[in-house]
Amino acid sequence: MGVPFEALLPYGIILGMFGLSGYGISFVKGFANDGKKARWNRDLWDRQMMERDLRLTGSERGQSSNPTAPKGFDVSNPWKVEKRIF
Amino acid sequence: MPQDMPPSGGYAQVQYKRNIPARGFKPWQYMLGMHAIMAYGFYRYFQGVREQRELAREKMWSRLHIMPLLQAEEDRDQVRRYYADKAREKELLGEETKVYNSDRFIRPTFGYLPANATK
Amino acid sequence: MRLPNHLTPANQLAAKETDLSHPQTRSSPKSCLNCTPPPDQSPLSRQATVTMAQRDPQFNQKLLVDTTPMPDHIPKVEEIGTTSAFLASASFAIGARCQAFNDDYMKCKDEANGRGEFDCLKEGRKVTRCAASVIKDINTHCMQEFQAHVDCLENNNQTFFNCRRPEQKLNSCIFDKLGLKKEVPGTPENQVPVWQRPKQMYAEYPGRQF
Repeated sequence: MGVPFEALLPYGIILGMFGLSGYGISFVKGFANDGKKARWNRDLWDRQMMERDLRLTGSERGQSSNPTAPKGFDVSNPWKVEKRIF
Repeated sequence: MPQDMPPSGGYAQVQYKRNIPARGFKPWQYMLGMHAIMAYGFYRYFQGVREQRELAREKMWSRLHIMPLLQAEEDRDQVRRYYADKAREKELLGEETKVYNSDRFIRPTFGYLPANATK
Repeated sequence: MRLPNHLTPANQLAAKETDLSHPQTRSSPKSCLNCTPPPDQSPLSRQATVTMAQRDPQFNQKLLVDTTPMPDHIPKVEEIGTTSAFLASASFAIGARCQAFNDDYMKCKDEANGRGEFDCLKEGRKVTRCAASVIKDINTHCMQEFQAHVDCLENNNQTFFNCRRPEQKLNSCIFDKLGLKKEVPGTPENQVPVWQRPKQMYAEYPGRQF
């Protein structure tokens, strides 16, 4: 006796939803990382180098082997500021 | 009066010895096997530790080699901003001021923040 | 200004000692940024217990960018536009050629007694020019290997041990064309250097790398 198809509907929904969220996460991650594999376990060095990459190429994952910086790079270094607390 | 007496010819032999064949290896063989497995595990572990140490050394030296150029870049930027602050101060106050009683370069803790500072 | 929300347990202990004479003025450790301090609480003794490590976290999303160019009395130098993965890939070549400049610069900074930012600008320019020359040379002679290694690094969290095959090619190209040899100071001499081992224990691909 065959299994009625109604019994399989919830599994279809479960599979579809997990698949959708998995695909969504991978899409967002790929979008955020310019299609490269995401970085992990970054330390302070990596983070500040990624900020430097952002200033140089306009993207945190952008890479350039240009020995000379684009115009305006030398004045683009930001200081992170916060409100005074005392 | 009749008494309970041993049966004629005495009691039968009580079977107290067991005659089950010992399964598996000898105990010392198990001991040896365990030690061999442990020794191999420790061998691999220390190999891994050594390789990790070399990898960490490589990573640190790759950073050390490019650190001076990044530092030089940063220092130039700091100096540029220092002189820019000085010039701005002179323009606003009309005179050179000295906040710290020191010749050293001090990264400013407090600064003037224009209203549209966020990029 | 008083900071009542810095009453961490350690501070409460300290506050207890200072507030023994005024038990009625003990403030509760509630967070109140804008409330006015009680009149007879000594702000100095409270401030002494507040260190930077205990301050509240706050957002620093504001960026201050100053676009004033460098003053004319300081010689100009072209900044390096190479990004992180390319720098990591070229780092040992830079180290091999520019070690003297790098050491000179760091020594100058060390001995400048806190004025290194001003006094070591000249050494810093030398460091930058030397590194830029290395990058330029690699770009002209080994661009293909350079790019391959960087692509690998970028897809492996910039870890060297996953990219031994392209690294081997890049190293040999740099050694052949530029004469710069990769060396890690302090490597034990009685073993193969880790970047020349075909088997990498921690690589994602467990077999021979090249």
